[in-house]
Order: sequence, then structure tokens, then C-alpha cells
Amino acid sequence: MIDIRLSELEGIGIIALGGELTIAHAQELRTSLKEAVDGYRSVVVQFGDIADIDLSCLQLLCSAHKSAVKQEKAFAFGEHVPAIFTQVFADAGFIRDTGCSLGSGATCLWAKEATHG
Amino acid sequence: MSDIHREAYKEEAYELLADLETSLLELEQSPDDQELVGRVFRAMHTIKGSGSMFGFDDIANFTHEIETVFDLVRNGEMPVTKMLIDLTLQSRDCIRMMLEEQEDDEDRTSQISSAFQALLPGASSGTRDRGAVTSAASSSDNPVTYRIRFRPDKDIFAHGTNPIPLLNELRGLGTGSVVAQLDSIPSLEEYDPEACYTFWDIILTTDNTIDTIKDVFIFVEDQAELTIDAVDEDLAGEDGHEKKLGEILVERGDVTGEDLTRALGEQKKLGEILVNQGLVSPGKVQAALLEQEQVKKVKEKQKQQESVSSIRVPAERLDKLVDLVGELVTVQARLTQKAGIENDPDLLLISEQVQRLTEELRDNTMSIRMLPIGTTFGRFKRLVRDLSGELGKEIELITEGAETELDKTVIERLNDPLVHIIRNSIDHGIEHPAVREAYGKPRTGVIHLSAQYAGASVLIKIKDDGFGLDTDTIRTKAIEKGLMAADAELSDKELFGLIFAPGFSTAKEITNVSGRGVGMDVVKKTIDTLRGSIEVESEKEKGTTITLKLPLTLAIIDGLMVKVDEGYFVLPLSAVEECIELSHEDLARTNGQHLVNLRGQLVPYIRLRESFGFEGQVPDLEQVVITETGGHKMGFTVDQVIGEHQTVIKSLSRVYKNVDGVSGATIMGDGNVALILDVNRLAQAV
Repeated sequence: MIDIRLSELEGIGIIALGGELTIAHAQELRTSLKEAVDGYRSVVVQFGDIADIDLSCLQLLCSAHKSAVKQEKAFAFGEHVPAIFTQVFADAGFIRDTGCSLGSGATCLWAKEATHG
Repeated sequence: MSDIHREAYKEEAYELLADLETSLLELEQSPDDQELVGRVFRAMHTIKGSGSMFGFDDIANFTHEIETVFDLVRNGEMPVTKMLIDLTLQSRDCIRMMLEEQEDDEDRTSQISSAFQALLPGASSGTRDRGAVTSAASSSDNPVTYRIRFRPDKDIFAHGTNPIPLLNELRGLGTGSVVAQLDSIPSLEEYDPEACYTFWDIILTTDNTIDTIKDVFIFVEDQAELTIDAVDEDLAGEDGHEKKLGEILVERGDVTGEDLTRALGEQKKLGEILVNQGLVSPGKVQAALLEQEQVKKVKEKQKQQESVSSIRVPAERLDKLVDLVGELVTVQARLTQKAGIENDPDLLLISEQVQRLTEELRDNTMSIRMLPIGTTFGRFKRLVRDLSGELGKEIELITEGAETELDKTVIERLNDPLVHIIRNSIDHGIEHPAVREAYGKPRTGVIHLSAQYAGASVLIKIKDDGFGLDTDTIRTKAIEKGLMAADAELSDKELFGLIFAPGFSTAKEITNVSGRGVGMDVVKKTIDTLRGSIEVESEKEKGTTITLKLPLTLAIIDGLMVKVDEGYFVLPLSAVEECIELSHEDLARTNGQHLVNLRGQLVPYIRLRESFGFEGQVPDLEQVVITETGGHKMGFTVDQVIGEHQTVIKSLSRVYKNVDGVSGATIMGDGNVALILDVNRLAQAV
């Protein structure tokens, strides 16, 4: 079961994610991320207790970031990034020295400074 | 997870388990052999990694501790002991049971797991896993660096495949880096939640071969694009310098030479320029830079080009190919026959060419089916080790001719008979060490298992230096069982033949090793169905030798085509000795008894005309085909001997399956069917 909660703090959309962040719940996660990105000028992802996570979730977060950059909005992870999450995205080879074509290294979700700094 | 993938995993796991068993037994003999330790480790690692990916979590969890222990062994932190080998062999059996999805013996598996945990020196097994793999794998003398691009199909998630364990398995093979390429990931509007948009560039320095790397992707090869190139061969550029970023990007096909030349006109950093100009994504530049860095680190620059040496093909496809070649041989025979009748020079020429090509294709296809018998031999080392230990005997198994090749079907069906024979040697043949010493023999008995070619057959010999067969005991038992008359005088060879009679057993007490009397007759039956023969030689106190003679292949045989009335028959040429004539006068001389005088020796014969109920006119001069089976000569009377015939064996339908004396059928060039005679069965029926 995936756990998604969307809330607002001073105009910033806070999307809290927990539970099973896997392909089985990818559709649900996509809908919620779209709602957050479309609905707020900035979005912060806060991670709760993650039971499981797979590649589909990493891709979706990357996709949400791209949507946000296109709309000139900010999309970032909150302060606490759980070990299970960093382990999976390191295993998946997502760690970046520099950002993607859309954004600079500083805003990339997977840039070393952003996740390990 | 689809059944196809689970089955593919199982198939690979069975192979790994077989290799694991062989490696462990060799390791027991050579505990300091690091190559063997590495083989055990890699087998466990792959079973675990792939098991986790394909839903065999029980196997993955069970294998984890064993892998960890062997990691310690590999790093010189733990010695190879007999206990470790015993435990690992037991684990191997447990994994096999799990694969076969038999009911779990939880007590046994948990006992083994606990035993392995107890071997660990208090270290957390989870933390040493990946790092240890990397350090050990990088200690090779001749590592090669590979550039790998793995691009899964978009629908790979729908097949239940998670690519991340594959990447981790690759990491386990050596050192390097994995860079996910994320440029294809669309924004949320266009995003399909079930699609995989990511692909990977991997740089891997490993002492494993390219085949091992390919094996990592074996279950997804039809769901992904995979390119693997060795970059070690030209670590340095033509003038000896290390390759520049631009050269690597061009080599990878990520940027064209023209774009590179144009970009080099600028004075900024090349990667920056290419990214700014939108010619290549930052991810690709990063991957290329990592490759450059990795290559710099590699000190060994020895060339080690690995070519693709083998491919894996399901056995059913091979069987289908053999069937098709069989059909082709039949059609080609018809064509040859037709061309001969028409006598058209052009048609004859074509027919000869088709014949030549078909023969070549047939030989090639048959050779694909041939497997070295060593795969079967390997299993017996474990059998001998375990059973001799159980019985308190000291026995060494020596194998020879493991490279001898036999048809895969023959090899598969040979396993059980060999197990029976070897069990008998262990149980009845080889004596206890003390008894051997009393007879002035070495304490350790030897079972010698060998294979060698003999014409179109393979001879498999199982020779032991044990007590030998006791003719007195066999005679007593045979009389008791009613297998021979009390006053009958049988030669040793004939007496030994009685051990293959159903229900015969000379073991004084029944053990769980042998002695139930169900073994040797089953052995004989199996060898008969393989169109083979079995011979026993034995010398009291010296030992016993059992020789199996088996045909190289079961799909096509050389046969002798004969005709009786309107019916055609094929006798296996391997059993045929000679052909002689039989006149009405000869018949009269024997007073109607079915015996023929062969250079002074009376040989019984079977009249196929009578056996198959032909009622047509008997020719003046009949032919007797003399065959030899099981050391006895037997003749078969026919109207006409047509000649040698390449016989493609077709199974009979279920209706005729149990007809005695007929082992199959073949389709002749003119479309008629000829029955293949089972010479052994026909002779036994007399």
C-alpha cells in the first residue's frame, strides 16, 4: 500500500510519500505528483517510512521534476532522505555529477550535492 | 513473474548446482585452490542474485549466508574444512529441493543456515556483501574493461522484471560505474506509469568473460537491447595517450565526428560545449568521463579478446531441428530414388547435390546433440563420496574419457543405470578397509569409470578392485530363484548374466544403498532400450568390470534393409555379423528345426515370415541375417537382403508402442514404412 499525503505550507506543496513506492502504485503516484506540480509554485517531497521502492518511482520523481522545470517551478526533496531511498537510486545509477539537460546541477534531484551534501 | 522466466532461472540454477557440486568435491581435494573457491562463490552469488529477481526469495535468503562464508574463504579469512564442504553440499541439495518446489524441510534448512551463521566471526553478513565482492573481483591478474549499454524495452515492467538487481549483479562481477540515462523520461503529462524510460551505460572492469556478463542479462535478452564492447584492447590511443572524452563519445556513437570537430573549435571544456550545444546530454558526458577515469585506473593492458563462443538454445528447438533433418533425409532419399528412375542427367546432378548437402546437414545437426559424458561423471563423485562415508568404506572414483561425446538423450537415460552399477560396486564390490588390508590390498578401493569410442559406439566401463562376483553365491541364488536347474553347468559368463534377471540379489541383507534386487534388471532393460549391450567380467578377490556398449546416437542408425514378402524391415547394422543363404535342402536337413550350420556352429534363426504372419510364396533361396546379441548368435530369415540404409528412427504410435520385437519405424524413399527390428527382444522371445 502506498501512502501519499498532499498539504500546503505557505504556498509550497508538500507531498509526503511512504509505504510501497512501486510499479503497482505508479499510476496513483503520477496523479498525485501532477496535482502537486500543477497546483503549487514549489513542491517539496517529504519521505516517511518507505517499505519498498523501485525504479518506477525514481522515474516518476524525475518526470515530476522535469514537469516542474518546464513550468519554471521548483521541485526538491525535503531534508530527510531515507537510507532505503538513497540506496535504491544509487543502485539504479541515478547519481549525477551535473544536472540533466533541463536544469543545472543545483536543482537536479540526483545531483551529488542535492542528495549527499 | 511469468513461468517462462522462472523456468529459465531453474534451468540455469540446475546447471549452477551441478557445477557447484563438482567444484566442492574438487575443493575438498585441493582446499587451497583459489580458483575453485571463486567458482563456488560465483555459483552461490548467481543463484542468490537471480533467485531474488525471479521470486525465489527462499533460495535467495538461504544462499545469502553461504555466499558470505565463501566470501570470507575467498579473502583468506576462513579455511576450507571438511565440515564446510559437507555443509555446503547439503545446502546444495536443499536449494535443489527448493527449486523443485518440494515440500520444505524447514528444520534442515534452518539447521544449515544456523551452522553457516555460526561460522561467521560475529560480523554482520549484510554489510560485507557488495564491498567484498568488488574488492575480490578486482584482484584478478588480467582484468578487462567493458563498455556496456543496457536498454530495456519500455514494457519490461509488464514482464515482472526489475532491472536494478541486474545492475547489482554486474557490480558483483568487478569494479566500475553505472550511469542511468534519464533523458527519455518525459514530463508527467506524457508519462506512462507502466513504462521503463531509463537505460544504462555501464563501465565494468572484470576478470570474468564476456559470456559471464551476458549471462547476467540472460533472462531479459529478448526484452532489451544489449551491447558489450571490450575497451581494454585499445586503452591507449594510437600514439599511446589515454583516450580523450571526444574520442570515447564518438566511439560510443553518442556524437558524430563532424560535431566533435566543430565543437573543438571552441575553447571551453569539451563536455560543457557539447552539452551547451545540445549535441549530447550531461548524463552521456558523465558516462564517457567515468569511462575515461576507469580506464586510467586500469593498470593491466593485456589484450584479452573474448569472442562469443556459445549460445544457449532450448533442447526442444534442437529436437525439432533433428526431426526436420530426419524428414529432409527421407525426402532426399525419395528424390534420389526418383532421379534414378527418371535417369535425367540434370535431375541426377541436382539430386546428388541435395544428397551431399543433406548428409552434411545431418552430420552437423547430430553433432550439435552430442554432449560430453563428463557432465554425468561429475555427479558420481558425490555419490561415491557420500555412500562410501555412510558405509565406512574408503573409495576413490577415477574417471577417464569425460570428453567422450554421446547423444544427449543417451546421456540423460544413462544416469540411472550408472547409479545402480556404481552403488552395487560400493555396496557389494569394494570391501571394508580392514578386510582389504587382510587381503593385502590398499585400504582405499578404486572405482574406475571410463568412456571411450569404439566405432559407432561408446564403451563405458565401470571397473572396481573389490571382491569380485562370487560364482557359488550366484549359482545358489539362481537355483533358489528357479533361474537355473540345480544340475546345470553354466560358464562364468552365463552365470554373471543371471544377475540381470528380475528379482535377483545376492546381498545378504538389504541396505539402503543396494540389495533390493530391483537394480540390475532395470539396468539391463534401460540399456536394451538404448539399443546397447552390457557385459560383465569378474575375477574373485580382484574385482569386477561392467562394460556398457551404447550407440552414439538414437536419432539415426545405420541399418540393413531386408524384405519379407511385401514387407520391409531394418536390422541395426551394429548387430549384423554376416548374411548366408538358406535353401529348401538346408531346411530339410534340419528336419524343420530352425537351426543353420555356420561353419560348423549351429545357429538358431527366427523366420520373420512366420513372426509377422506373411503368407505369400516362399522363394527358393532365402537369406539368413546372422546377428550377435548378448554374446549369442541369432539368425533372421528373410526373402531378400536389400542393403545398407541410413535409417531415421520414428517412434511408433501409442497403439504399437508395446509390440515386442519392434523398436520403431522408418519412412523409405518411396514413402513406404519399414519396421525397425529389436533384435534383442526377438532373440529373447525364442
